[in-house]
Order: sequence, then structure tokens, then C-alpha cells
Amino acid sequence: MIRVCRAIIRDRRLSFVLRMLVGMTLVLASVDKLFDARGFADAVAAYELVPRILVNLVAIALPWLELLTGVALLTGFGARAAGLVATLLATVYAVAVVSALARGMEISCGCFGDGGAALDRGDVWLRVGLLAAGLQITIAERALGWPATAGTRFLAGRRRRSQQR
Amino acid sequence: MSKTRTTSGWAMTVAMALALIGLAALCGLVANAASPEGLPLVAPAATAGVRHIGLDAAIDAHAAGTAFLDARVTRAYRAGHISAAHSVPYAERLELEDRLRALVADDDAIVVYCTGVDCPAAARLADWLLRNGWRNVAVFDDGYPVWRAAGLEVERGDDGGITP
Repeated sequence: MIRVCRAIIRDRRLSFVLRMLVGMTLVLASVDKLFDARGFADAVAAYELVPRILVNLVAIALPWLELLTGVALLTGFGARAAGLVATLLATVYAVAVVSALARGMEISCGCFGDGGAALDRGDVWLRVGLLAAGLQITIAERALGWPATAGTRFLAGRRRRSQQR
Repeated sequence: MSKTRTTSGWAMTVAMALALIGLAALCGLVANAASPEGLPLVAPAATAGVRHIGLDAAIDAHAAGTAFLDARVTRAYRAGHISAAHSVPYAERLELEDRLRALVADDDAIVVYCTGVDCPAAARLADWLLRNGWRNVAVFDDGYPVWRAAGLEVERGDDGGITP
């Protein structure tokens, strides 16, 4: 049983599928926020978790972090680091959503740039899913991801050939 | 040997993760500086030109028939709002602008509210109203909870007139 779990956690095919899913989710989530920074700043402020003077900085940087992390997951470049960041983001979002629900706040999620819909319990599960997927990716993927690995292999091959000469 | 390799792999991963965060912050700052809609890096504490009123002034304004705008999300508005208030969720202000303009003239008094002192939507909506031509804008800082707690007139549902 433990062995099966360990195999699933290390499975590279699973981590590939999860990378695509989480990557697409993050890219989708970032698009609307990139075009409506002011709206996203309001969404962040509505959670009342970030001090007011930091709200705009968060609203400026967070969509880009989502976009870059999403692209890194989709391309596999720095996949393990991207998985780690995705895990971190999912954790922060999960805590924010749970705390808003626990305080009985009627605010919109702001997660995909959506204006109207208010938070409900369903919003927690997506964050938990992302968190689990991020962890699996972080554990299963190679540190540098494919382009760097391929590059290292290429350089190593050249070095070996030049030594032979 | 293998242990040091794993450790350095994780150190590399954390370093790359931090680099990713730094790069994102850099991209955000550059894009924000380049954008005409860019945000101030530090959110202003209060907007100049917006008046802030308390419960007594809000009651007077309400009795005088001043237009009240509810800046909260639609669901909160439906669950209960100051009577005769119109629903203008901050995020939907652009879609509602034309109807709002037809309803409230530039010089008419407006009172904006949301869920209280810490709720930013009312102050931001008031700021937006001032930037878009309305001149007589006040924020009722205490907002809906204090109004309801004071036993004043409230309504449920969708009769706000410019609710989408």
C-alpha cells in the first residue's frame, strides 16, 4: 500500500498530466487580473488579510507570478521550482478562502477575475486540489525540467566527445 | 554522496522558486509602470474630495431622498440593503455606468456604502464616481451592518432600479 502510494507520488506520467492541468488553471487565472489590476486590487483588499499599503503591490505582482508559474509548468522549464511555487500559491489561496468563509464574509473570490459570484465552500476544494497536485509535481519532477536537462546532456556529450579527440 | 546531491537539488529548486517570484515581481512592476491604467505602488489611505459621513448624516441624507449606492456584491445586496439603495457592485461599475448616469445627475448628492470601515469597495466606488463626473459624493463609513443594527429601514431583493 505504502509502496503504491510512493509509486503514485513519484509517477512522472501523472505529474505531466497534473502539470498541464495546474499550468492551464494558473494561466487562465492570471489573464483577467493582468488586464484589470485595479479590480484585482479590490478583490485582494476585500479579504482584509493584506495590509492596505501592500494591497497594490500584491495585485501588481501576483498575476505575473501565476502566469510565469503556469507557463513554466506547461513547458516543463524549471518544473520542480514551478511546482513548489504552485503549491505555495494554492496554500495561500486556500488559507485566504477558508478564513474569509470562517469570518462569514460575502466577498467575490477574485480568483479568475470574476466580479460577481460570492465565495462558497466549493471554492475551497479547487485550492486543495491544486495544493495536492502542486506537491505531487514538486516531488516527481526533476529539478531543472527538460530544457535544462537536455542542455546539460548535450554539453556533457560534447565534452565527452572533445575528450575523446 | 547521494545525500548531498539531493540537498543541493532542493537548494537549487528553492533558489529557482525564489527567482521565479522575483522575476514575477519585476515583470509586474515594469508592466505597471508602462500601463496607462497603472496603480500607485502604495494604495492611498483616503481619497481627497470624498466626504466621509457617519450614521446621523446618513439618516438625514436618506430622509432627504439622496441616492444611496450599495457597492457590495449582488448577493449581499439581495440578502438585505438600505431601503431604496441601488446596487452598484464595484466590479460591475463599468457595465452600470450608463444606467447610473441616467438615474443620478452629476450634481445630485450620492451616498456610497458597503460592509463597514474596513470594506474598501465603497471608498473605491466613490473615488471612481468623482473621477467620472459626479461631484457630490459621500461615503457612509459604518455601512450596512450599523444601519441595520440601528433598526433603520432595510429591504431585501432586487428593486434597486439599476441592478443588472
